[in-house]
Formats: sequence, C-alpha cells, structure tokens
Amino acid sequence: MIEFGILEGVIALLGVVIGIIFGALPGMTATMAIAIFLPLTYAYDLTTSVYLLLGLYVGGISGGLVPAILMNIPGTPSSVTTGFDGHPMAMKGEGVRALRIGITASLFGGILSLVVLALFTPVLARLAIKFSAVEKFLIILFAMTVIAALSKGKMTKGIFTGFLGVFISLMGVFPDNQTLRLVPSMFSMELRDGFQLLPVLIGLFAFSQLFQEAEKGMKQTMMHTDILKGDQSKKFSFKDFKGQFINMLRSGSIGTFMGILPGIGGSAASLLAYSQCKTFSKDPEKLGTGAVEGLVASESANNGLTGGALVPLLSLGIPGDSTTAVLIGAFILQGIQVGPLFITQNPVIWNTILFALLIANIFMFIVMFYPIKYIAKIINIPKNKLYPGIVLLCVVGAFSTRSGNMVDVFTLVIFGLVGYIFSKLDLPVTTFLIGFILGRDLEKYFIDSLKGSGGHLSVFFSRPIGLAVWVLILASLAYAFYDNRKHHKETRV
Amino acid sequence: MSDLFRIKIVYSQSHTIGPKIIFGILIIFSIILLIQAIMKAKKENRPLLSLKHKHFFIENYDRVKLLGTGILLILYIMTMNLLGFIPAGILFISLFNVLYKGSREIKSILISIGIATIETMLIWFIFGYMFGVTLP
Amino acid sequence: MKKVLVLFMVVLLAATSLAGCKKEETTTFDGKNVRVVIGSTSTTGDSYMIADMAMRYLSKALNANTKVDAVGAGPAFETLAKADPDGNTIMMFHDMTYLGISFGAFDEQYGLENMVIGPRIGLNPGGCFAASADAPYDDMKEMADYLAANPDEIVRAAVEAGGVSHIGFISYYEWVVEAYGQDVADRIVVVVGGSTAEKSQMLWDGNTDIIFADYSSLLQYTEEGVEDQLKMKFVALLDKIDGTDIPTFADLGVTLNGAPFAFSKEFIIYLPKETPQAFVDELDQAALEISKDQAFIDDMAKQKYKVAYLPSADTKTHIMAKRDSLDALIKAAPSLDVLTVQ
Repeated sequence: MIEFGILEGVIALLGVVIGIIFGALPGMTATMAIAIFLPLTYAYDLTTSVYLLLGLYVGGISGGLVPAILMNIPGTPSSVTTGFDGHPMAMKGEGVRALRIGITASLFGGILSLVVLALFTPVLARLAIKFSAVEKFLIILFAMTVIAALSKGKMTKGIFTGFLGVFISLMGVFPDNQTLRLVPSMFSMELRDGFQLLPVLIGLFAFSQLFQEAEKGMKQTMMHTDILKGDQSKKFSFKDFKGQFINMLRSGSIGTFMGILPGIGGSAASLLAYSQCKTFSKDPEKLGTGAVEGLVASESANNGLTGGALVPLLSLGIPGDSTTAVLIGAFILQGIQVGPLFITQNPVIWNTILFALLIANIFMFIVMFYPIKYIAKIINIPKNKLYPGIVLLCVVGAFSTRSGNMVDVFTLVIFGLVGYIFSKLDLPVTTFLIGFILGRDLEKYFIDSLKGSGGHLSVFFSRPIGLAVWVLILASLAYAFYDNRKHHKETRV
Repeated sequence: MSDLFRIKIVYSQSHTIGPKIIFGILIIFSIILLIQAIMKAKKENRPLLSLKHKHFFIENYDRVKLLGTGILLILYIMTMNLLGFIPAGILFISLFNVLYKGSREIKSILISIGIATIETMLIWFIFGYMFGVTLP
Repeated sequence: MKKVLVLFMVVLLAATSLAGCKKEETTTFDGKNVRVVIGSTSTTGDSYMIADMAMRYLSKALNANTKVDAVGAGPAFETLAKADPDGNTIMMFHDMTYLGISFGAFDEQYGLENMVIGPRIGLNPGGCFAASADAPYDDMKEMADYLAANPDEIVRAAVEAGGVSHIGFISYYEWVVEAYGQDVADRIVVVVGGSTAEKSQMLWDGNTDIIFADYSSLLQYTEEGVEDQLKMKFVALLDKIDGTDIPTFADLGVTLNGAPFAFSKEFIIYLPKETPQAFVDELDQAALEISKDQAFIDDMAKQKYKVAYLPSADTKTHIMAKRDSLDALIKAAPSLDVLTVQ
C-alpha cells in the first residue's frame, strides 16, 4: 500500500536536486529549503508534498559534503567533521574519490536509519522520552569530548578555545527569563539572539581562509599544481570500504540515535561519531590527515539523522531536529496530525513516507555519484576567480539565515577575522566552533536539570542511563589524554 | 554539607549561572596555559615573551590584497543596504576580481565585470527570483 | 566583438541599477512587494500559520506581492521600527507585541505608541492547560480543591515566561489566592518551560503536572487509543472554543478586574510609525473583504482559528484598553522569582 507514480518520482528527484544545491551552498541548509518550499505544498496533495519535502530533506543533508571536501567550508553544520579528512584528501588530488566515499557512506547511513525507522519506531520513541534534561546534558558533554580528541598535542589550547566558543554562544537572551546577558548595551537589539550559527560557521571557515589567502596573494589553485598535472592519484573503488563496515554501522547508529533524541542538534551526531571513530580506530594518528575512516564516520552519521529524526516526529508529534520541526508544518497544512496515533490511523501515508525516504536516498546517490567528477573541477579554478564567487554566496547565505538580517552578514566578517587571528596565534578554530555549536544546549540542559532537582548537583549521578553516559565520557577523556601524551612524546623525539 | 553541591536557581538570575561557570573554567584554563608557557620558556632557557622572531604576518605578505579584502567587504555590506543586492553585488564582486587578479589591463577588468555580473544575476535569479529567498 | 561586449555590459549595468532605484512613492499597496515580518521564528506555530493564511487571501485583495518572514520577536520589532512608512514592510503579530513590554522583556521604544495599529484579522482562542490523563483532578477548580484537601501535595505548572501562558497562570493564581487562600496558592509552583514539544516531554517525564499549550496541538494526545504514558486531558481553556465542553477560566469563576476572564490571542497588522492613513484604509478595506470569504473562514477553522475582522480604529482602542487592564494584573501578581520556588 504505497502511493507512487511517475509524477511523484519526478517531484522526489526535483526535491533531491534542489536539496543538494541548498545543502552544498555555504549558509543554506535543508531546513531553509523545506521552509521555502512549504507554502508551495498547499497546491499539492499530501503524497506529492511528502515526496518533495523528503527529497529536499535527504538532498539538503547530503549536499553539505561537497564544499566541506572541496573547499574545507562545511555546507551545513553537520558536515563540519566531513572536511577534517575529506579536504586533505582533495588537496592530495583525491577529490573525486573522497566525494564518492562520502556519498556512499551517506547512502549507507540513510538506509540504515530508514530500516530503524521502519522497524523500531514505537520502541525507540518510548526510549526517547526516557531521556530527560539530565541525560541530554550528559550526551552534549559526551559530544564535547570530541574537543579533547581533536586537539592532539594541543590539549589545553583546544579545551580553552572550546570553552571560549561556549562562552560566545551564550551571548544574547536567556530563553527562560528573557534576560539579556554578555551583550554590550549598544547592540542590545542587534545581538538579542546572539550570533547565529551559520554565519559564525562560514565566517570561521570561509572568510578566515579568504583573509589568509589574500595575505598570500591569491596565487595558485587550491591544489598544488604538481598534483594537478600528474594523474596518478587514487581512484574511488568500493574496495575503499573494506574494513569500514563496523565503522559505518557504529557511526550510522550514533547518527540515527542522535536524531531520535529530540532537542539534540544534528551536528552533535557527526561530532560524536567522529570522536568514537577515533577512539576505536587502529591508527588514530591518521585521522585528520585524510583518512577514509573519518570521512565515512562523519557522513554515515549525518545521513543517519534523517530517519532518526522522523521517529519522534511521527510517533510522538515531537520533531527530532530543526528540519523535521518545519516538516510538522507540512502535515498540519494538510490537516494531518503527526503523533501517537499517526501510524495506526494512516498506514498508507506511513508506508509512503518510508518509500519516499528510500527513493530519495537512492536518487541522492545516483544524482551525486556520477556527475560529481565535474563538480570536483571547482578545485581547479584559480583562487583569484573562485573567492569572489564564494564571498557572494556566503553573503547571500548569511543574509537569508534569519530571512534578511544584516547583523548576520557582519557576523560573517567578524568571525572571519576571529578565525584569521586564531590561526596566527596557533589556536585551534574547530574546537572553538564545536564549543559554539554545543554551548547553548549544554547550558539549557544543565539549568533544566538543576531546576528539576531544586539545585542539587547530585541529580547528574542519580539516573542509570546518565551513569552509563558518564562511563563513556570518562573513557573518552582518558583515551584522549593518553593520545595527547603519546603525541607529545613522538614530537619530542 | 550538602549545600556545597547545590546551585540555587533564582529565576530572575538564572541567566547568569551558565556564563559564570564557563567564565570560571576559562580563567582556570588560562592560568594552566600561562603556567605551561612559563615552564616551556624555562626549559628552553628563553624569556617568556620574545617577539623578536615572531611576526604576525607571513613574510612578504600581500598588503594590498589583505587590506583591500577587509575594506571591500565592509564597503560591500554597507553598500548592499543602500543600493540593493544586484548593483552592489556586480560592483563589488567586480572589484574583488580586479583586486585579486592584480592586472590593470582593460580586457581583464572587463572580464572581471563580466564574471561578476553573471554570478550576481545567476544567484539573484535562482534564489531571489525562483526560490523567493529574501535578498538585501 | 569587444565593443559589442562592452556595450552589452554597460546596458546590463544600467538596467540593473535602474531596477534597484525604481522605488516610487505611492500610497497604495497595489503592485508592491510587501514584506510581512512576524514575531516568531517557527514556521509551524500559530503566528506563522495565521499570517500565511491571511496573506494568501489579503495579497489578492490588495493586488500586492506579500512575503511572510518568520524573523522572531526582537528582529520583527526592530524591522518595524526602522522601516520606512512606504507600505513595503508590515508586521503581523499577536498580543506578545505589548506583553513583551509589559513584562519588561523589550524596550519601551517598541511600544504600541510607536507604531500604527492596523486592522485585526483573526483570533486564536486555543490557549489551554492540560494534565496527564491519570491526574487526580479533571479541571483546574478540582485541582485547587485537591490541593486544599491534601496539604502535603504540590502541583507544578509548566508555562512560558512573559507571554500569554504567563498571563493565564497569574490570573488563575490570583483567583486561587482569593478563593482558597495563600496556603493553597503557594503550593502551585511554576516550572519555566519552552516550546510545546519541550513541555509535553516534561509532562511525560514527570517533571511537571500541568502544561500550558495550544488546544489544537495537544488535541491528538487526548484521543482514545493513545497509550497511557502519553495520554493527556484538558483541565481548562482560557477562552471558549466552539464544539468543546471543556471548562473555561470563566466557567471556573476566574475574573479579571471583576469581569469573567477570557483571553484569545488577537492577530493584528502593525505598520511603521507615521504610515499615511491611505495605507491603513486600504488594509481595512481588504481585511473586511477577506473576512467575508468563506474559503478563508474554512481554512482558519480547520486549525480552530477564528476570522475576526475589526477596523483599525476600533482595534486601536480595544488593544490599548486590553493592555492597560492586563498591566494592572501583571503589577499585582508576584514575580516568577517567588512563583518558581519549590
């Protein structure tokens, strides 16, 4: 019992393609694509809307890997970790290979989460509401341990900038009591909601790169010219996935589970998957220098989100991430309530959603896998022609973050400078960004936990799931310290 | 005793708890960083702050392009507010292209303007026109 | 060849800069691109839904190109304060417009006095309190009775600070103080919550006993067949909703300044200060027209929203009177510092 036809197929394909474009452009996200197309779905029936919107969703989440790998500018917040290993590969002339590995891992993550969605939705939804503020706080803390794992040899600096990122993220109004903090009073209106994630992200990556390249005089292309000429670089083959199955399964599951938990952002998924990949890796030193492992972990995790985030949406009526929050609107517009009775009352729509998700994932793979070698040529454009275009795109992306706010465009420039100065002072930018991404949630769930317990800190040790997460946190930290030590010794010898 | 492990939440002050804790952590880590720097300096037997061999900018850095980038960016954003997306885009993206190209030939300037016009119009058409994204 | 290229460029440049400058000053919405900012960032909440539906019809009546931008409360006020009074920017928002200032979250400069108040388009009467289905009371009067009978019990209520739910709670609280005494009222504790999704989770997780939300968003959890852990029941409505028999605050006996309490969110169009009257008249005319359109009424009714046109002049006196009467309530009620203490 599935509603599908040629029209639906075309619409899904269209959704995927447009989604990929939005995902690939820095500053534009899947959420934005869905929000833009939402009013259009008025004109369609529910089935057509489902194909379009899920196509946009899958495409939007997947597209982010393209600029992350080619230009080290994450297209979406959840592809930050993709660039860690993807970009070094591209610099070595393996752009197409990296992209194809990423796309294949994305497909795997997407399908894995779809299976989970199809088979375990009611069970997982019941599990998800067992996670209260305490568990969510600990999971965010767990995701923050990636900071320690990332800053090899520079642990103190990494942690310092990480918390600096948290501090900056707290600027603006505290939602509970609507009180402004950490904002100079002359900007009280402009920065009421603090700095927005997308402009900060693009500023730190794209604009700081822009300044650094301008300093060097914008001479060459991204790749070293000698690599450009010789073409002995490795080609993609499915053999690249040899030994990656466990990694993909672990990362995809982490991604799916982060999607299932309402109120934990999508970027936490790929961050956690990446740090766990490092913990379990046979040679962790290679991560961050162009290891297939890291790329696979990041991409299978962020596509694992798609199915995961639909679990609480369809079975509890509670969105799993910001994109699915917009999807609720599409259902409401069609007069259908998603919630505890949705699956039993609408079996046809439910099956259609599963099928649409499957189709969207397959289309995503086909649309991206083959033509990607032409897109990868971007990297061959001389920097002096490439960067003005990037500036234009970033400005458009930043401006549309909140439907037209110049503050967000200035944010871009400010954090471009911050990133530039950080690189001069040898401070890591990524850990700052991770702190910024997770900061607000960290505070929110910390305060919520305390509100629930009357302020007793013992609440963080009072729940069984919480204790299990503590063990994971400590193990992660211990490993990171050990790794840091080892790195220190190696560099000294 | 148990009050030691208690943070009392007063509603109207709840916005200050998070920043205070994070600020505390930042101070602790800056002290650790400082101590590490001092220890390292001692070990290598050099003064803590030596700016002699340190340069903020790389050697032979491109002053024109670096400063130009900053100035153009700020002017671009301000102009966009006044002129609107398309005119400001064409004007400044051309200027960026000319700046980075570094050539003053008429032909290369014209090419720059051409690229800028096509890029701006393309983005305006796809996003501003087709998808209805709010542009400046 | 080169010359042709140059010519082409020049023409293109000229054309585009002209396109950017063609803003003529006319006092009509006819043919204009109108940006409608709303005070919420969500595209699923009532603010967006009502604005989107209204603009769908209103844009036809005005022959204008409208675009609803969900920018959030602060940016929306700021946009309206800075916008030129040329009909290119308007705001559509509910009672938060003045409540935000009454509760002290926003600066006085964004007050009603500094904008032009247009017509009222619609109402959302859906504010309600809900509890877990197995709670030992069925409405908020029984809840107060229950607290009076069990001196050791407390009830926690999840409400948002500074909004409609805050108003709803303090009016109930004041009523309990009067009818049952301070002792009972002291055992009703506020837990400050966020979105409806968050509050629902708090209820399911046992971190609160009643939550404030929109009727239509919780309706599905009250239906037959929902498993016990998720099941809810409505315990009070702020205002009468057609087709339901859930007691309203007025039914319970809650009063505001002596009159039975009733609160619906009113969705009003606001324009920048010093907007010419011609724009307002045009809006009034168009709003009246769409308020008679059965298709619009049906669309709104699907979400339990009501079409309720009120001409701008009447809207102005009405909303200012509403603000002043609520100001008195807000001043009299204890602050959340007191209400949140457990």
